[in-house]
Amino acid sequence: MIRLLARAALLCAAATVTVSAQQPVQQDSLARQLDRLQRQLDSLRRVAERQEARLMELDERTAAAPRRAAADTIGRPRTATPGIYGKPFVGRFGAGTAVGGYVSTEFRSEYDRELGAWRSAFDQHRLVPFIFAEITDRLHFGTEIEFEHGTKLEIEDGEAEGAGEVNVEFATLDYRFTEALNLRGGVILSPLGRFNLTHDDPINELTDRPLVARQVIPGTLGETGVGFFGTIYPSARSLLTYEAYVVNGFSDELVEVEPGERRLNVREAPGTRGAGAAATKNFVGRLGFSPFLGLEIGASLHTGEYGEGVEEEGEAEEGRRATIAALDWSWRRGPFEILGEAARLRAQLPDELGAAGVSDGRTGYYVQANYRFGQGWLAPEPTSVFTGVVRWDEVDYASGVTGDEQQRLTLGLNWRPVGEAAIKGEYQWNWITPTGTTSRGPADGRVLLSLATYF
Amino acid sequence: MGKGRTAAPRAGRTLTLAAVVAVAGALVASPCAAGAQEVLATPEQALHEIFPEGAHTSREVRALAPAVKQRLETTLGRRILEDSVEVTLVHDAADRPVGYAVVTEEIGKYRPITFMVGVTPQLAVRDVMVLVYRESRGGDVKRERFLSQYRGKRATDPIDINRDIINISGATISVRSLNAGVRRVLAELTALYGPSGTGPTGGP
Repeated sequence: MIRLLARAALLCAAATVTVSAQQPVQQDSLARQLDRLQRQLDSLRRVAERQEARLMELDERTAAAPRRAAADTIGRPRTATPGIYGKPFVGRFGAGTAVGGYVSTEFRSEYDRELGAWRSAFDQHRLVPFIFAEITDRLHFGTEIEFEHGTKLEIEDGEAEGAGEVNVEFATLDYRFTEALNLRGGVILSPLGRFNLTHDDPINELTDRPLVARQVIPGTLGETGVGFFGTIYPSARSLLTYEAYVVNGFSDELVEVEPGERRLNVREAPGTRGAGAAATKNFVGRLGFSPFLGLEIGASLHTGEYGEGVEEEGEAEEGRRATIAALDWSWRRGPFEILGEAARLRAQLPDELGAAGVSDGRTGYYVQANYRFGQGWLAPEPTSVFTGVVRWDEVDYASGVTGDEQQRLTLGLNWRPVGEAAIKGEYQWNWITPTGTTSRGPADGRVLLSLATYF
Repeated sequence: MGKGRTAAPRAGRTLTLAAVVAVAGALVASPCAAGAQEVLATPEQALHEIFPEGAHTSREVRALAPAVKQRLETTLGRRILEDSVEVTLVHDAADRPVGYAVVTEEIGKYRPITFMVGVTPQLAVRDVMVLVYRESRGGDVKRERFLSQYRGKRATDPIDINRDIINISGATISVRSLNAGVRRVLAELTALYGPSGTGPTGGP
């Protein structure tokens, strides 16, 4: 359109100039005329550009609005690499910035065996806005900021008071060289196991995350670093994804264990995001292979020394390596889906901790089966679906130490009016084996109801 | 780092970082290949891919009678914008019919996806090929890995996520668009060339 207008205006200008040239016109008059035509042309060009931008915007809205309602996020087999690229967005601002997010609210009721009573509470568990900016076709920024437990914080004299948590889950700048090679830097959602990459509440069928994804892999794990990710297609049917980063290593808090405690402090282990003066550097990466659509197997590793990476002069250097290795899998056919993950942590301990009987690791796994049914039983008919879920969790909190294990069986049923939203209900049976014993006994059972949606 | 402290030797780490920087540098210098609009095949190329035994083709534009169109809209649960369908009839060297092909478009997340649906004379999908993909993301739908799911589908199949089509992470809307497009083409061809249709004008 712009080109047409420009051509028309130039033709007009040329014609005018030709006609004018046949008459005895002053040079300055001709110059003024050209100047005026040029201004008109510029003005028309600006109008055309505005109109075109407006048309594009309307086009995008028209295309996006009805389809978003029908979009089915949960239907994904959740190939783990895309991260921010797998998320739905509702609002677009300007040419390349999109804003979205997800929210989840829960009701938890737990039978406390010691009290002999049920206790319950509502929890505005997560409010997570995310922003995505397509700076150019190749340069993208994405971030997710998490507010947990209805965060209410007041800052007084530099101290935060209140409850909840605010956390930049990831903030990354990606540069795409090719589909097979992308550079990524920032606070990276660590590709350690599959669940850490696909942890959003609306996409998961159960309210509580798998034990292994919290107690062996300290999810949600986001670490500062730089590296590469990409997708390769070895054959027409298969797909290989990889992510490989150098990140700040785990902190010394991994081995800051209370007296008498035998477990490693893995949930506090994630290293500095940048506020610390120094940190070791760890490798974290995941290789995923899908021989055909519907089946994916992933192997991931987080390894390196923990601590600040500096030694006091004269201090004997000792091995302080910590490694988490994980395997994950998912298989899907029609309405059936089976997925799971296993992970193992091993750390080299200071001698005094080893002597105190502190465990040098943790292991765990989960297996989950989903079955989708009742499509269209409830309105909105084209998109609503029920999912029946069963999951088995098992974690050994202190490898090599007798006991200190937990098992969990969860049965769940949820309903999704659209793929991005879920109303979930589940019951958890828990069993624990106390430290030092081999006898497993029942632990507190839980009822969980939750609402979660992308927005 | 405080005085009196020294960095521990980290040869492996340094090497890793050096490798990262080197690879990044090399790639920055290398030519890049990306673009919003990707033309993957011409209709002729797609016809050859879907019907390799096809020796010659003819085209016909079949009008959708208002009653047929209304019935299709009810069945599909959506509006059909076109009043006619341009069908390519494919024959082998012995002039036996081998199938129908329709080039069509569906809006993806923001832009149209142009694709060809090849259908057997028995009105089952022979194959689907994306001809032009214009979205900046979700391009996995253009690959055989995904498109092979449509083979053998008929108008009576659900052709839907969670049922007989496996979705692709990050490309849900494109997947839904292709599902809708394949369903529509199958329904139209079944209405035009199926038992209740009026049959081809010299086609399969």
